[in-house]
Amino acid sequence: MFKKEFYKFKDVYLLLVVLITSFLAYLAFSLKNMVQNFGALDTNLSFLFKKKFTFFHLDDMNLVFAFVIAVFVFFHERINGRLRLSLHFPHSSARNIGFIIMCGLLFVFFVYFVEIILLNIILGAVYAKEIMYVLNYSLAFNYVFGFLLYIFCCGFIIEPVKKRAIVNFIVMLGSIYLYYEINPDIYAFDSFYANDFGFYYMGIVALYALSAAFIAFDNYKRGYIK
Amino acid sequence: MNAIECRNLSHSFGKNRIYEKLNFNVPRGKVVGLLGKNGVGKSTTINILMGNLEPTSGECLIFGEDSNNLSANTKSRIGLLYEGYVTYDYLKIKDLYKLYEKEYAARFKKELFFDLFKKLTVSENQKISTLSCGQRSQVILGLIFASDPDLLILDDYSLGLDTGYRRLFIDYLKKFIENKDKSVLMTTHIVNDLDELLDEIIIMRKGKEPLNIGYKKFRDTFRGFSLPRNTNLENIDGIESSFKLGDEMQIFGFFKKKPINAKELKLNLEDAFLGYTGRY
Amino acid sequence: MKILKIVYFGVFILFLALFLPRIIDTALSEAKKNPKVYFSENLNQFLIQGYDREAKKSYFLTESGDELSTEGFMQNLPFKFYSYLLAKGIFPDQYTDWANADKIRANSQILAIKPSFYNQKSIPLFTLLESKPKFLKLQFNNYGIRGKKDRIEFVNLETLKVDDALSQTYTDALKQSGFIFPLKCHYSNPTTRKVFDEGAFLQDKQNTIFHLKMINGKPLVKNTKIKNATIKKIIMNENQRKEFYGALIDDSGVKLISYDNYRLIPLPSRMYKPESMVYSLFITPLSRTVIININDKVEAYKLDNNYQILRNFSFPIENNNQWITNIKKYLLPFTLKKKDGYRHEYTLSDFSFLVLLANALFALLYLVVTFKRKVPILHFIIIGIFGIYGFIALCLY
Repeated sequence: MFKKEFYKFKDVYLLLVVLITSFLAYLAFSLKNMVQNFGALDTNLSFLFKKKFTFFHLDDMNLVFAFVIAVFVFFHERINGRLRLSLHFPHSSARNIGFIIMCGLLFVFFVYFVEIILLNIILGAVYAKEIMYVLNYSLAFNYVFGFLLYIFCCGFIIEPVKKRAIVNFIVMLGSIYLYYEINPDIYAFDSFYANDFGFYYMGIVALYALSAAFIAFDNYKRGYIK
Repeated sequence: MNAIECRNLSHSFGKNRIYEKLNFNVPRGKVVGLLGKNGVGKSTTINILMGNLEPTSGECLIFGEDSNNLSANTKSRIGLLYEGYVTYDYLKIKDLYKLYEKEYAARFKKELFFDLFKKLTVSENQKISTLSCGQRSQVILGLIFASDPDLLILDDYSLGLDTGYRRLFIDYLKKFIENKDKSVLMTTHIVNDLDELLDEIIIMRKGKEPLNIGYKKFRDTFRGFSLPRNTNLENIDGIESSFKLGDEMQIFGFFKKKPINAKELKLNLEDAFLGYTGRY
Repeated sequence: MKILKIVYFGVFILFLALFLPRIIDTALSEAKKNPKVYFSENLNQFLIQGYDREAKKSYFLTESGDELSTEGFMQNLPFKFYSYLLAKGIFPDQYTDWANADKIRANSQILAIKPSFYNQKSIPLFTLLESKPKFLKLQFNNYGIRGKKDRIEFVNLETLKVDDALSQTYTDALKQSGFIFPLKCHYSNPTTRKVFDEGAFLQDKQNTIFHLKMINGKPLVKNTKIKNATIKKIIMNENQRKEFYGALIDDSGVKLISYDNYRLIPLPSRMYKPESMVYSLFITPLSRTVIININDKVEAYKLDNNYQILRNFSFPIENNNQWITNIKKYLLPFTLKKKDGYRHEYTLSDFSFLVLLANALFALLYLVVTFKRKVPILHFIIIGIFGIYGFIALCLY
């Protein structure tokens, strides 16, 4: 079953992991250069007082990663109505649906998990723990939104009613806008901790994304095949 | 006890009514052919049976459970073949095999799969998407047979298959059901293949009650006659369809007696089917 | 599934309440150009600098409504445009004693509190500059300072190691001055681009403010006796006039912290909301003025040397977007918008009962849209309450 899920996105997964690794390496080398040129003190101070830090689009890449994996996961189920097969495996429908959603999500989670550990090793060697808290909070927010984007994809790829699929897509775009307003890259923050309340709003967005996903599966099962 | 029971099944797509109050059963251990011309609702019925479509009204029970809400145990007893041999084409044969082996572990009979698979000259490492339609059908049917279902629902199994593969399929199906403990509901447009295989047939016609009849009874009582072209048909009872061909007129139906001046036609299943549904 | 559908629908209405008002504002509103108000010492009047949108040019007015040319405007603000006036030799004659740029600069001070600055929450790690640097030039030392439960900790930002000795020295100095740990807040001006350094103000557990400086590496701590639980921010503003350390903002407004034993000097702050308004204190050799940019007007205060209000002046800001506000009042039952502050906190606001007519029209429109279909009465109740949001959501549902 894992293989069945993994093979849907195997190639693109590996490609994106390579890309994320490259972004991570670029961030690490940039930081190393900054420390070599200006010293760790200046690096810390310029973070504290000028918000001089960027993830070099690694955070954007994380979102793209989750989104693309989700597109592959759910499109493969939609092609030729393969979802009909997946729903017929001898388990409850909830389990069959849960497996389709969670399997890809687990692969995304794995990359995020490894990434945050590496980032903590790389950045934690230079930045004070108070700064690391800000960075980790921002990254955690980024990952959670990545998961949400993944679930959003279900809401517009599986959803067979075109009108609703479009609405779900628009709400996803609105959520992306909201996400970047609340949790932009560090240098673009209006203030540190601007994302303090962000998880509450992401919670509301999660409610929508999950509802949309389950409604989509339900609609599909009720017969809006094609 | 029936494997499938459909009661007062009605379905519409928007304003387009497909059928109304359809009733039929598939008894256990029987092979039932669901026949009909395009657009009469065969696939709709199959989709309802497979739990992928909620009927507008009525209910469909499989082994006594609502087809839209089957338990895991009942699902494991049903083998589904989707029109066009839908499967996970992005997997290799061996991965697809492992998937079915794991999912149907309790019932899986691998010898049934390999018996069919060894007839193919392909490697287990080949991706399903690279197989020909016939090869693909054998892999899928092999897996369905290997999962040892009590009920087979086969939607247009013959689509895209050449005569050889169709015959191979029928041969295996016959072997699969020889113990008379399996039920089969199948649709196809190549009805002649089903001769000698079916126990019952359901023939659906647009806007009319479907015909649910034993196969033998249908073959014995449904007849066709050739008459002179200008014969008045008003006095002949039981005509289901007629058409003119050159100087003659052919009529089909359940006739109690042979019409005057009529010459009986020798009908195969396809002729009888077309005779019942009408040619055009 | 029913609950999921209610959640789905409810969140979509919130989504509309957030984005629809924004779309209306973005599509229809014009950028606001706030006029600026200054005090003219020679005219003893406030002057206004604004922008005429129709004529597409700046205008200059006196408080009494007389128009001024650009030259006239500059000449009447000699302590603002002194560089230009002195260079051109047209500095007003009556101020010949002040016709010296350095002298003017040494007796001038600007303290501006902008929302973008006020709405900052700093990371709980600060630095102290050496207030008496060996080579006179201010520079950062290697340490970041963090507050712990019962002490402050000096962490070397090059190595991320804690300097226990330094931490102990400063902790002891604070404790000896009566500081009660933990440290609640720190306020400083962490830049080397200033003439001198006045250290940092620290707020202790009991909301007392302590003044901490580093002199020759040693701590100098003073209890300011300022005890205030409503302090929002202290903005340090080191200036060679050495009249005040900076401004303290609390629930009652803006106060200066004077060099006179940390005495607090209240400044005019009526209607001032630091989260969204710009507050400026302009000190020239001959005047002190406070200018507050309130939403629909500019409030200006002329102060005496003791910061008592001598007179005030109010100049209205033309609002070209009033019609949009009115449209929204009649169209949108409420909006979801960001509260002013450091974080993104969205609240439901602008509830309007004027939308009832529009809601009725939307209900009627819904009846037309769903013509010949059986519609539950609940849909009309939803439109009655949520108006346009409910209408759009139901149409797309």
